[in-house]
Amino acid sequence: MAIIVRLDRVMADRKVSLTDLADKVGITMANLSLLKTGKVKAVRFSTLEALCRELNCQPGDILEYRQERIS
Amino acid sequence: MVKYTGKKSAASLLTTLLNLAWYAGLVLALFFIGVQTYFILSGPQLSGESMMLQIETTGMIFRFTEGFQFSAQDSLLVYQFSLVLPLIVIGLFIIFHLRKILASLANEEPFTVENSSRIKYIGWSVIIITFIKAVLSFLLGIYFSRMVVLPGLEISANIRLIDFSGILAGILILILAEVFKHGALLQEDHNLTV
Repeated sequence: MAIIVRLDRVMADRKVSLTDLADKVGITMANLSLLKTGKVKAVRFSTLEALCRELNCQPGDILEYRQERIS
Repeated sequence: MVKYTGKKSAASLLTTLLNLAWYAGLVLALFFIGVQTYFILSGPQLSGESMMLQIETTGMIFRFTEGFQFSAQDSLLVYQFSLVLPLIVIGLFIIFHLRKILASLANEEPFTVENSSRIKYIGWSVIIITFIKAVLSFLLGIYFSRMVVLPGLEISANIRLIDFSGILAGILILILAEVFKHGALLQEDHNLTV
């Protein structure tokens, strides 16, 4: 997928653990883990909003677009 | 209020009932195969004199105590069980898939690709069963009409046209399978959205 989730980087910068963040954002740890590893299909605006609020960042810090090479 | 899905619901109760039907059906099928094999193997020794022929329709029962010719080679029971056995096999096939679907309902995970395939199998089974029933009842009709010889009574086999309600039910089930497939895709989208 051309959208890369940079959640792990932001979390490392803020020194936030997966458990803490899941608790604060109000989603399950399993779902947050899926999001971190980029295995999800979509992110709700409400989730993105909560993540940005808790991590004090912009959506662009969490998500990154990289053009895929067409073979 | 009746609970339809989840634990201790109508779905879980039906799952238990279908599980019973499944095992009873298996035993019944094995019994039929056993009896059929026995009569095929011992067919030529059967005597027609002590036999009685009974034909049942929805409203009437015809009982022939004499006046029918019984040929031991094509034993009546073989025909009877040939009619019953394919229906039992397909019936068991349907029950097998139905209990899996109901079990998934009891677990509150109905929209899966597997369930869609299972419903599709059931739909095709219903259509096939309709055709088998039509063909077999015709063959059985031919057999009976040859066996019963009574003065002044004429019996002929009736080509019963295919039962359209069965085919219609099958097609509706196939459409339902497509609906479930769509549901499974939506469920996957929902599951992969955080």
